Amino acid sequence: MPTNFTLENYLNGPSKLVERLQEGPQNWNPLDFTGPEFLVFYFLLGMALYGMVFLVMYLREDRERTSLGKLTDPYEIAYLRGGEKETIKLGLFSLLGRELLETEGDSLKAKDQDSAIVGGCPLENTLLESLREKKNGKEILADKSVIAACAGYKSSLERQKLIVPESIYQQRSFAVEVAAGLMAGLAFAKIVIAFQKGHTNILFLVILAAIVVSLIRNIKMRLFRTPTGERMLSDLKTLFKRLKDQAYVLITQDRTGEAMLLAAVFKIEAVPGYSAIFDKVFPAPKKSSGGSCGSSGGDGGGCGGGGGCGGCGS
Amino acid sequence: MGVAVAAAAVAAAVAVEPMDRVGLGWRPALATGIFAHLDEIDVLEVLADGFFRGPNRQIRSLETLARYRPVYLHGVSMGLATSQRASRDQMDRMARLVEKVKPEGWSEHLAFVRGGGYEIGHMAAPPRTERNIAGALRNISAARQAVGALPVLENVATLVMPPASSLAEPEWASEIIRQSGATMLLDLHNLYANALNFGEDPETWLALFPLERVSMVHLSGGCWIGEPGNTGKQRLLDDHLHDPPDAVYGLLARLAEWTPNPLTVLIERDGNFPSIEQLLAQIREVRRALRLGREARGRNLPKGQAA
Repeated sequence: MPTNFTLENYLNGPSKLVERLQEGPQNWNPLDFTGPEFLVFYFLLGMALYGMVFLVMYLREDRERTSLGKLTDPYEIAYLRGGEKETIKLGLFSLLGRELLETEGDSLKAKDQDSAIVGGCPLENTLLESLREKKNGKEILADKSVIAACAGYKSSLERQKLIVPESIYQQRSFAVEVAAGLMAGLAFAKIVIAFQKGHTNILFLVILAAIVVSLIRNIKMRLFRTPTGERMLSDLKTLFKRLKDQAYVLITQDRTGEAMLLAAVFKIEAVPGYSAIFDKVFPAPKKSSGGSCGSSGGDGGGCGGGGGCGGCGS
Repeated sequence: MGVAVAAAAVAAAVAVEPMDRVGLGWRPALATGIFAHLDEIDVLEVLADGFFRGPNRQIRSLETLARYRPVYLHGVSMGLATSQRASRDQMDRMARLVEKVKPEGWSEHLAFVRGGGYEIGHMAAPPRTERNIAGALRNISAARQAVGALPVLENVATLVMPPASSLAEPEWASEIIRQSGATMLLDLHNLYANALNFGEDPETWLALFPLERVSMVHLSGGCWIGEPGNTGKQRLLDDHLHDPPDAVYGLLARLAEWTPNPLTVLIERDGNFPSIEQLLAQIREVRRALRLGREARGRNLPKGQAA
């Protein structure tokens, strides 16, 4: 540790940065800032970029006043929350709850060859067909027929303006990746310069960079939703908040439809008894390619009308 | 033959009152059950007081809920039926909530909840006097000004005959309802409990209320409790923790027979929740009672109308 490393030094970062900026533009190269000055600058730049990404997102948003729709289909809700991946996981949750699937290590398999007859929803039927042979999570998510079965939910949410069209999502994603890349590159450059100058106290910068870059990249899922979609999901979470931990109880009472609503709004992994299964089948949190609005071909249809899916046969 | 055919046509036309609606009190414990069966539920009622001091996202979620089904806000703490001034703070809170949620309507009780600087903590039946009527009318008018709309006014249950009362409950309620211009939320279990507790026939009691002003109905249940003092007698407590008794469905059918008004009927349950399937069965029973009442109304139309 260099002798000038003190907490007081870092807490004085903001005032030192202000002094630096007051010295004139010739001293504004951030790569020349001292550690404390750079940390403050980096934090402020990160928050500014974070805010700008949202600003760009909503400025480009279709400003037409979108009336709040009515989502009752658990599959649509799951798609709104997490794209194809979460929708597929919900389908598996439903099939597991109705004992139509069995686990084999990190894989799932349809229990008997005739299960497809009783699946119900097009997505569930497709999953049962796909799982005639056992598959792990990665294989399930890569199955084109399963992805195609989600297309109807995507179309419905686009029509209701709860998610953005693919083209807008790609624009938003690009903005996010540019912002994240800028922050990561800036941190990397500063670390290299610091080492060149013999400074090794880079821990704070590494931690801050990891946090800022993660924050920026983690809003990718929110880019998928429109402000109205964001609100819909948030309000559903508020309305169901009291029952958040009850999904397992509902399943044991054979109330699969209600359990699916909870699993759709909150994450399936939070359901006791199912978290272990899903942690094995989908072992690592993936940067969701399922959130990138996959292929849009086919008519997967919906799972039901205003009464909701009701568990598709439960 | 022509008269019989025409009478049958009229009877059929009124047998199913298209504007009758049946719903449930919204309770967080019932949230998923309600959402999973929205096709069987026409309307929802939300207890407003729980949201008066709630965070914005909670109130915003009510606005979303109102997109799914028409919502009524139901207050319990304004204390309108009193010769004292009712709570202006509660009126303002209800006004703010109404403005944000934009419900189909709001309701309160013909009860008092505070007096002499004390909060009772629950609704109580006030002395039924002319002075109380005057006070209630002032408070209802103030509430209308604050909120921007008249409340629908509900009768309350009581285990104790309000002392110093000079009027019977139906007469007192009728005066307030008619003079205020408000419509009535007739809680049939409250009516039933009060009638039984004080030795009246429930159906006769029902006929004394201003049925032409009834727009909403509550159904709930209760349980029998012993009177204090080991009298061996019992009183019916309206606790909202039990299923509506069969007699209350019968009163609903009578109401549907006696009034032409479209009715919004809500089942109230505050705890000891049954399964959603049981609540849906109660909703279906309500629809059956309404249908029976409307059909009976059609059969009893004056002969002149049938021709």
